[in-house]
Amino acid sequence: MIMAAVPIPRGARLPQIREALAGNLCRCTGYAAIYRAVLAAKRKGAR
Amino acid sequence: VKLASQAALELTETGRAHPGGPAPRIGQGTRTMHAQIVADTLGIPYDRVEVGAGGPRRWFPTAADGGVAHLHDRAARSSSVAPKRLKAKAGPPHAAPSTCGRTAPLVIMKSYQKPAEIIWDETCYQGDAYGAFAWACNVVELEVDPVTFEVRPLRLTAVAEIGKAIHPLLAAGQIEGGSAQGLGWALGEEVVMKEGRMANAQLTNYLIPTTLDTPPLDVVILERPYRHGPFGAKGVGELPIDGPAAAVANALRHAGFDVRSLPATPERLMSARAVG
Repeated sequence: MIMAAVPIPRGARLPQIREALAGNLCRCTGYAAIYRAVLAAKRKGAR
Repeated sequence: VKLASQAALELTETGRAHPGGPAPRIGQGTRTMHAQIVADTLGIPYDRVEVGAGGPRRWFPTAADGGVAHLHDRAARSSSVAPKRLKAKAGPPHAAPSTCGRTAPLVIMKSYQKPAEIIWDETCYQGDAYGAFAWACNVVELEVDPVTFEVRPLRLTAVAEIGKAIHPLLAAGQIEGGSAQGLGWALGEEVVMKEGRMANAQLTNYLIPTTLDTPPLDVVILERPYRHGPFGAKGVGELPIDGPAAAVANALRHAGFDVRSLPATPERLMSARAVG
């Protein structure tokens, strides 16, 4: 999941993130918390 | 199951707290929340609390330790070594000391005291198995392809009344995850049994929801404290997985499909009786 998130461009929005992570399964989160984390990490200005 | 769960708390000379109990940790954040409860109650920093460390780790055999004991038992039987000896090696399960010496750790062990208004008959197994119930309501918005009968959930709203969210972020995460699993159960996950075995026990033929199958999940947490729960908490647990499938079935009925069994696959939808 993290490797799939690496190439996601900065400033990416949710639909793009959903698409980019689609090849990775997660059973417990419902993906929502993962989106929040990726959105935060890819926010413009985030380190 | 006897309503007599135990919990222990060890306070060390260095000012650390080690809470513990017999329940195994199954990954829902109980470790974090138990530490929060202890830190808040004692008024000490959260990072001074280590759940399951020190004495409590030894006194309460976890589920995994139970398995080890079982293996010991089997090993004893097969190798004709007296089980007693093996057990002695593993250590007695309740070697709880209660030293209040100056430098020794302080140990408190308590059993759950059933509130008087909760009636439970141990022999007939009847009564209030639970002191309180959490409640939930689910709303599902979906669309059905009239040609392929594919169902696409567009949005799920889960409202859960859980007494008190000890850790709101973890509680919301539990609700999101359970909701997604509930949608998977409702729309795609089908266990096919063949001669007593699951015939589709692979992720290639037992499909669980991907990111693209999981719609946005709205979570609303309501809190009506349970007076015997810690800080009013009732718990979340399995609650979030219970409602989504029923909400899907009702949404399909609203869309004109009388689905009577799950998952609501295109095949089932195709043969479902149209709602009159």
